[in-house]
Amino acid sequence: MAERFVSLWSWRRVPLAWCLLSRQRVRLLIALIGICFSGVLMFLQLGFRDALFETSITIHRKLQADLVMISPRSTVSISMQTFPQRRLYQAAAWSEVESVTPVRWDFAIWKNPETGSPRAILALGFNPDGDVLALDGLDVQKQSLKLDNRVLYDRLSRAEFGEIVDLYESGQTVRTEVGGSKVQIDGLVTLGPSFGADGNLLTSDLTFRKLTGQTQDNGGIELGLIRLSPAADAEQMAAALSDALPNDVRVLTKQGFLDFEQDYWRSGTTIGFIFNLGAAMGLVVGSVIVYQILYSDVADHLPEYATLKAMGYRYTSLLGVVMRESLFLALMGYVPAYLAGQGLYGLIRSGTRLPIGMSSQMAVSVFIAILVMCLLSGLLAMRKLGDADPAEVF
Amino acid sequence: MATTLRPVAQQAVVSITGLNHWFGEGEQRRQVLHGLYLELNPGEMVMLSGPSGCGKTTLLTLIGALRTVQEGSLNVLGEQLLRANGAVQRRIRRQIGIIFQGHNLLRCLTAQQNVQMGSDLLRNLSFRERHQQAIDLLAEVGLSDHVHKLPAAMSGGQCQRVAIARALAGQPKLLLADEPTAALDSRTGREVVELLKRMVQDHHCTVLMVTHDPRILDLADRLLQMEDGCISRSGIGLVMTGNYPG
Repeated sequence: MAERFVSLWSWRRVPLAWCLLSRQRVRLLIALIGICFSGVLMFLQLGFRDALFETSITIHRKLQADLVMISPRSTVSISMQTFPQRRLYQAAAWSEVESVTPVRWDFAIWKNPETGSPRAILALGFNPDGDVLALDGLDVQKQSLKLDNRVLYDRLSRAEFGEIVDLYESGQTVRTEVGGSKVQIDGLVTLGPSFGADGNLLTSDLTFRKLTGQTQDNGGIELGLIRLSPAADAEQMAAALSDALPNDVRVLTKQGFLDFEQDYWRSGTTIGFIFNLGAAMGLVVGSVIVYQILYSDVADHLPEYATLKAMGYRYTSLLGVVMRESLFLALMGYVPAYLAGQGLYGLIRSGTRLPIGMSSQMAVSVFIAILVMCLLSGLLAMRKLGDADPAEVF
Repeated sequence: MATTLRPVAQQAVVSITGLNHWFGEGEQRRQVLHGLYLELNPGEMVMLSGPSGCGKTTLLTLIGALRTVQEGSLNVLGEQLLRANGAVQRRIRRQIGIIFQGHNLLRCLTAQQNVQMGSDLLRNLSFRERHQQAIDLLAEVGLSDHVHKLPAAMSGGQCQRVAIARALAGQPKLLLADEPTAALDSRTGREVVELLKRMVQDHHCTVLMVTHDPRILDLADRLLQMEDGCISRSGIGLVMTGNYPG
């Protein structure tokens, strides 16, 4: 192995590809800016797309449930439909079911206490004695919800709802109006906004009806949380309950509920497509820039490539030079794109509170995209090499 | 019109018999070489002159395996080039050094790297040896202090010296030169050809040089004169009467 490496090392040649790139600094700089721009565009588009999918299930992940019951008319959490609450209690009759908890889930109009401007906020209503969300400190905080018109406010809600967190943490009593009813903020929780909801609040099921303008209890709920005994199989129970209960409800495992939400954003809307298209545009823009750079590089050095052919260099050796140039461009262009992407993610996180971040999968995906982009551009530019006629250099 | 040369005892480096060549198709087809006969012997320095368009460069490119031989026999370094495939052509090219009129150095490479490009195809030398050989050759052409310079930082004469070093780096048995002094002043031009002659003798190399420069003709072992696709005159100490434009 070592001998082979030594043999390969001794067979190395003058680094022509590197010299062609590095000794034309302006052209190299333009190429790197183009690749960096393309990479940043891809990072942003894919980052927003992933953040969209991730934030769409922020609350879903924290639900204390093995199974989730919803209406078959519900397509996404931003427009949940009601189903009869009695179906949840029917499910409670199964020996494998440990507990059931009804949850109300709808948007209410929040009035910014400082400016008075209205904004839709996602409200979750539940019995304060029930276990609904796995949140630190909620067990204590939710006791205050037993009082009328009390809410817990999501500290990650967007700033447009007002400086609620600062006001609350300064010790003031924070009051505002939600759905035309006066409410008092009795605590802060940490959930996070999503593309569908700019902010969240938690309240009791009784207060929820007031905030959403439901004066009468019609027995409908948007979400039913089912906890199973440890020995029960969630998949089997979901199937069994679906078979046994009328078709006015749909029973999903918790993972199924996460998939239900993400599938809507991924397939049921054009949003995922738009972000993918944006990333593809980045790829196209980068390809055009890299192609132009490599094509003009080959065209400018055509007599020199023809000279090398006349000296006995194979056509494939010269193709290798262009491909190595492509590879160097991809490697050198990716690094600043990665760093700029990280910086922009940080800015976006602090500005929008979206959980946008660089996953290793995304970092690898964008690198592969840039690599393919540069190699394809190189392949196209190499066609020009066919014009290098060694007989014409005389 | 064709001239037959006397056979020599040693095996010829280049042996041409009845070589014809045409350019163009159909009615546009025009014959540029007419039944050429020529032999180049080992160690010879042969200079080829003639008016523009008489076929000198075409002959040079055919010997250099840069064009496909259409008709006649062209044997270079023991390989027949008539109906030779790409692999044979490349093999021949690697045994030939070429010096161009405009030196054709790679602008992005230093003098040392340019010279090493000439030897990077050699299989019998390691990278380190090729690197050192390039430096040694540059020293031989008097450019020890210019090893790391780019062509843009050197004069025309210096670039042509680098081109000579590059042509010899591949340890060629045959060297083709196309008007190597055309872009140089008379003094530098003669210096470069004297250097070339000295080096090809040291490296046991045969040279075929196309030139219009009457000031260097005395350095040739043999002179050839071409007209209308034929070698019209051949001999030692031939007096060149024509003043041919490039």
